[in-house]
Amino acid sequence: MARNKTGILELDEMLQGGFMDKDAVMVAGSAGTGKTTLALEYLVNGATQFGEPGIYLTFEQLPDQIYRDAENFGWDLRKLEAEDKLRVVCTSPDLLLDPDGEEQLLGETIKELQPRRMVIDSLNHLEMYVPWGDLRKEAYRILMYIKTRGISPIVIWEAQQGVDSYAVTQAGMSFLVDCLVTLKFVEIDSSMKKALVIMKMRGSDHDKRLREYEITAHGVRVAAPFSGYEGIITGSPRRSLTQEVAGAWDSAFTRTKHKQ
Amino acid sequence: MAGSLSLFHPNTTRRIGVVPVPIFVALIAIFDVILPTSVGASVAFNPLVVFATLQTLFLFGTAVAVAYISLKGYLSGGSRTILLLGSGTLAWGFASVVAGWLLGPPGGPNVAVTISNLGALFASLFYVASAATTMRAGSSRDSKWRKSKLLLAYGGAVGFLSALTVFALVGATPAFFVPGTGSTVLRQVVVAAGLLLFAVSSILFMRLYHDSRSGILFWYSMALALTAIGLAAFYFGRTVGDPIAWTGRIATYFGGVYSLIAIWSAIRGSRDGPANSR
Repeated sequence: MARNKTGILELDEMLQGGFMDKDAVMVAGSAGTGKTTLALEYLVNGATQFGEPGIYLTFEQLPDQIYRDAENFGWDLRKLEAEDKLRVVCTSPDLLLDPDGEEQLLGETIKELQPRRMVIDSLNHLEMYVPWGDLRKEAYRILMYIKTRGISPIVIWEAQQGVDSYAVTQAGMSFLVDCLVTLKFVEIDSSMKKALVIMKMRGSDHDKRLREYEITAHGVRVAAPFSGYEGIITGSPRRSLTQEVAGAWDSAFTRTKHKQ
Repeated sequence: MAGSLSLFHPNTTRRIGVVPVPIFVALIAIFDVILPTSVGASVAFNPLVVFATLQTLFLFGTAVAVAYISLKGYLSGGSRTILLLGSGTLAWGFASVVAGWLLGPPGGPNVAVTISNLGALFASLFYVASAATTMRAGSSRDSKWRKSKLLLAYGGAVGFLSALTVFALVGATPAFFVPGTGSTVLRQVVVAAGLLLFAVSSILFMRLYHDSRSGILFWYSMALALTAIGLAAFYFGRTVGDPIAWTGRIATYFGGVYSLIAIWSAIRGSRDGPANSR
């Protein structure tokens, strides 16, 4: 089975080699979790490491901002565009929503570039132009357009971080995609950390564990799974009873001069 | 919630917890006075399965619990005190269960006594090293290779005692107990050294308790004290399974229960805050 490697080693391991070819992938998370960075890295790695050109379609940033932000991670998007390995398309969602809007907006670029990857940043912007009830229908239409052209899309969804789950599932968007990667802030030992989990991946086994990740100077780096904690998905995990007891045990035998 | 289940104030509970110590000491002294210097095998009471089961439940089971909590504590915090404590407890529990099940064939009194007494001495070395680390001013924590060190310490403890068991079974160890004659001088020395080190460890941990007032430390240092009393009973015992030996065994079983109470204190502390581990 063909896989699209993200080029992020640990994430590819979690995905058993990468996203399934032509699967629609949703990267969901609240603001600041690194959704755009992850998606851009997927495109840049595709273009530079795997010979797969890509399109970055954004509704929320101007090109200069995107080029500047990418440079901070060492990604020269202008150079990739000059080499016909990438296109950055900044537009308004209403243009995409017009009848045949996707063809008018992307048709020429797709013919020229023959892309294998695409990122839409973000689906939330469609909410401003279509009634809530039509949102899923429009999203489905756009994803089908992309997939039928042999392109593997990643769509970004900004989800409010709830106590018990993500708004992405509440909004009924998750069924549109084949793979759902969620990014989340968690508070552990009075510091804010980031957690990544693959919530679903149709037709493939995958790592179900919550893994810590960081946004480094070189992009996303996924670290070890969180262990010894319960309730990470709530954003306010606590150590498991065993860990709590072990902590109390440890502090009792090592505590000094703490007279009551 | 756990705190609300307590019927007594912690200080009252601890005062009650001290009571068995003088009782066991008095019982050993009384039996030592009333029993003749040399007693026959008829005085001994050694129901093999009962003894082995008691050893398994009260010494091995409790040791595994302490070793497990210590393992988790060491892996997350890296405290060498905890590593040595867990290793010592595992060694003591392992030696006790092996000795319990080898009192009968294919072992025998000498094999069981050899493993039990050498295991106690071996464990006491870990305990005293653990207690000694608490006396140092600086932090004794490992930042690297925790899993490897844990494997080395726990594996080394179990490996050493496994090898000792094999040597004892094939008769490659010096005699500790000669049926009809009694304990050898070697046994007296090993037991004396073991009980001394257990007692020193208990005192060192009790000193730490006086600084922190941690219930965990109180109950664990009392557990070590009761184990030391148990070893003292073996020192004074006439034969395996005589009343003095049983007094010592029951003292060590109390030690096992006390170590479980120490874990319970840790559970209360983790659920209800440090105040409840006191």
